[in-house]
Amino acid sequence: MKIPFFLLFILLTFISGYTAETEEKDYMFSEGYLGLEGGDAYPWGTTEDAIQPALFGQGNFTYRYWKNTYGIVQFGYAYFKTYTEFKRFPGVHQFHGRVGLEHQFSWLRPLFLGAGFSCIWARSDGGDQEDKGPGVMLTDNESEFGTFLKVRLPIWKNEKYAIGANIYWEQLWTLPEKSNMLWIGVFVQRRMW
Amino acid sequence: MRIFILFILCFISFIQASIPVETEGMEPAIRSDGTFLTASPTYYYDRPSLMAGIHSQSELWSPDFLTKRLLVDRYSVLPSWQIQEPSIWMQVGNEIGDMIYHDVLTDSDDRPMNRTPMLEAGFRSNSFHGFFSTARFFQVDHFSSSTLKVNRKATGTMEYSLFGSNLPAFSTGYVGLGYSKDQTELSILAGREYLWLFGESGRWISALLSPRVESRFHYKKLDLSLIYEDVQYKDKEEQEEGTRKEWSGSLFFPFGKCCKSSKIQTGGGLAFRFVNDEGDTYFGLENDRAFWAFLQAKYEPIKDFTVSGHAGMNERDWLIQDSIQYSLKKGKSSHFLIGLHNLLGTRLNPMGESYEFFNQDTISLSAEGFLQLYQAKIDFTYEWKNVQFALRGSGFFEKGAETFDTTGFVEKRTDVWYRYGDVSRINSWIRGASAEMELAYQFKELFSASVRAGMERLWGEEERFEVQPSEYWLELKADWTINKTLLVSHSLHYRSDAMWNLRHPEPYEVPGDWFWNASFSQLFPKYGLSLTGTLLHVLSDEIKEVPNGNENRIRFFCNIKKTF
Repeated sequence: MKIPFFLLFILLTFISGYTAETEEKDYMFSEGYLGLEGGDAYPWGTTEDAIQPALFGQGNFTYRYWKNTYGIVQFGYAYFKTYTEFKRFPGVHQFHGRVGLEHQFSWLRPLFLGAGFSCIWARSDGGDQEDKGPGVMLTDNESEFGTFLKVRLPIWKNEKYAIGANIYWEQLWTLPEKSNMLWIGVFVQRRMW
Repeated sequence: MRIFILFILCFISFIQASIPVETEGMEPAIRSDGTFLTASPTYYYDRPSLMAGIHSQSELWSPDFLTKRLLVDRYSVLPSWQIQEPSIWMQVGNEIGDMIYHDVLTDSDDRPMNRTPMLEAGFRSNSFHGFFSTARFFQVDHFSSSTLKVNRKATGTMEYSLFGSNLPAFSTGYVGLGYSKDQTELSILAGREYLWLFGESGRWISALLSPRVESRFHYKKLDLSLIYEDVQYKDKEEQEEGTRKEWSGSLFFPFGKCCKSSKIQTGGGLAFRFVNDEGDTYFGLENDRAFWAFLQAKYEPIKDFTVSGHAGMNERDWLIQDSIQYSLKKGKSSHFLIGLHNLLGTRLNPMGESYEFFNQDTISLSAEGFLQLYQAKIDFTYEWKNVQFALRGSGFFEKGAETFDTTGFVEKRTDVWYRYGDVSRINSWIRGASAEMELAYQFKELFSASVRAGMERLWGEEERFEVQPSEYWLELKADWTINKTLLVSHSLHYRSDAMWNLRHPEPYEVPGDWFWNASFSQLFPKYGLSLTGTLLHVLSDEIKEVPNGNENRIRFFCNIKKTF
């Protein structure tokens, strides 16, 4: 599985490299936006048995990078409740950060497709560190990285403000297997410059 | 001016989109062009392609090492106290594979070994009338899981670093002031550092340097350094404790013109160490001191013909290295180089420790007699439009190579072996031949790719070297620079089997493996800003490349940097 994924990745990078537009004008940081986003995060796959879907909130900073490409930086928080049969702690605090790029392809207007790296920091809400059973690692600070793919759907905008929706597929590089999560959020953003 | 040139070189190397590593000096953990085996950031075997002799590169003293760190008997870039360019930066990372939410579903017996992070933050201010300040905190906890249990017993605590409790190979913090103007540079740094040193016995030895003070002075053609270290050694399990107060430094005149002739350049210098040991220090320096006086010279009697070398000596050892090189260029497209290289000396690193103390044994880290090494090299390069082709070859003879005479083993815990014995010599001839081929392609500023492949074969009466190097290796690189602001770099590597013969009761085979590195950087040149995410050692098996070392795992780290 690793090798086909690797070859596909290399192929995509080749294609993106050769098809990249050559910019005539310097767009970098010509626009900057701050936004607030809220929504639901849904564990997907094995981790569905560990934690329940949760509400999340996050702050977004978006800047223009190339003509049709924007950079994204996000920081947010979610509290994932465990199930009642898991007695060790009632939930897990998770802070997350994302950095990436999103691009508007002409054939996919008005949607933006994006990708980047994620980082999460998690710690249980209580729990005894001396009990070495399931969940003990979360009683201390844990962090992990991963990647995400996202789609942005602009819904409404004027000169200063915009409203839209984001859908993310996030995959964290955890063991014994990777953790998948689907995030759906609605954002309000203000153009700062 | 010197700082400016350094900055330009750093910038050029960055633009060329090479894969970054966690911190300076960890390159061996992601290289395949030769034999590179990593136990931890503070110990690796590094032997690049076409290198002569059976030793690793960091074992052999050279004037270039005056700014590097001496770790037991090897020189290391890491932990680097080299002052950075004016900037502020931060980076975080992890050996990927923490469980996070899977932990809730996993019994303790099925739990995979915990993965470990890395953390760095630092700044160097802009100059104010030449004066600047700097501070840096950095530690790489990667490569520390397998050694955790044994090392925890030695320290008696998990709190043996500036941050966290993973017992990382190094954890360093320093602050400092400096002055840089015209041709004068002066700096003084002071800090605290936790280190795990790898002894010839195979033990990891904890050392707390508190304080460590490093001062450097450069004026025109003179470099001075003076370093003070107050080292505390501790093994709580063995109830041993010791301290070392060490002064070390160097005086160095790099190459300068000599004798009114522009054809001859000479330089030279002096390096020294003074130690004062009390209690159990694990290492000893003969007479509590080491000196090294050396000269270097370069002579170019005719165009493209160069003779160069350096020679040094102290009361016990001597070391001479010289090379003769003839370079023939035909037009702009082809280049042929032939060279001879000789090395003669009583010890590869005459500044290293003299002894390691292990239980009742004193391990001598030097051997009687001397080594002699003779190498011939050729390098042919041909360029055609955007394509470059290179063929390189090397052959060497070596007698008196440094090795280790293992007289016994003791098992510390399951498959953790310590050894007794002494550094000794292989008093028979070893012969080696190696070759490599490189094909590189450049498409405008957008894309560059290269493929390098190499092989090596060694012969001799004695074949149980400390490390039997890899016989074959491969390196594929591809870099994109999209719109001059998005860098995407890949490198795919293969290294064939290597073998440790003397650190384990049975020969310890390091199986051949593939691995892939990738890096993605967003550049904001107008603002001096960069954002980088890097994946290292992907696709490979988790292999322990050195006996008693740690697995080389998949790692990810991201970096943000703003230059002033």
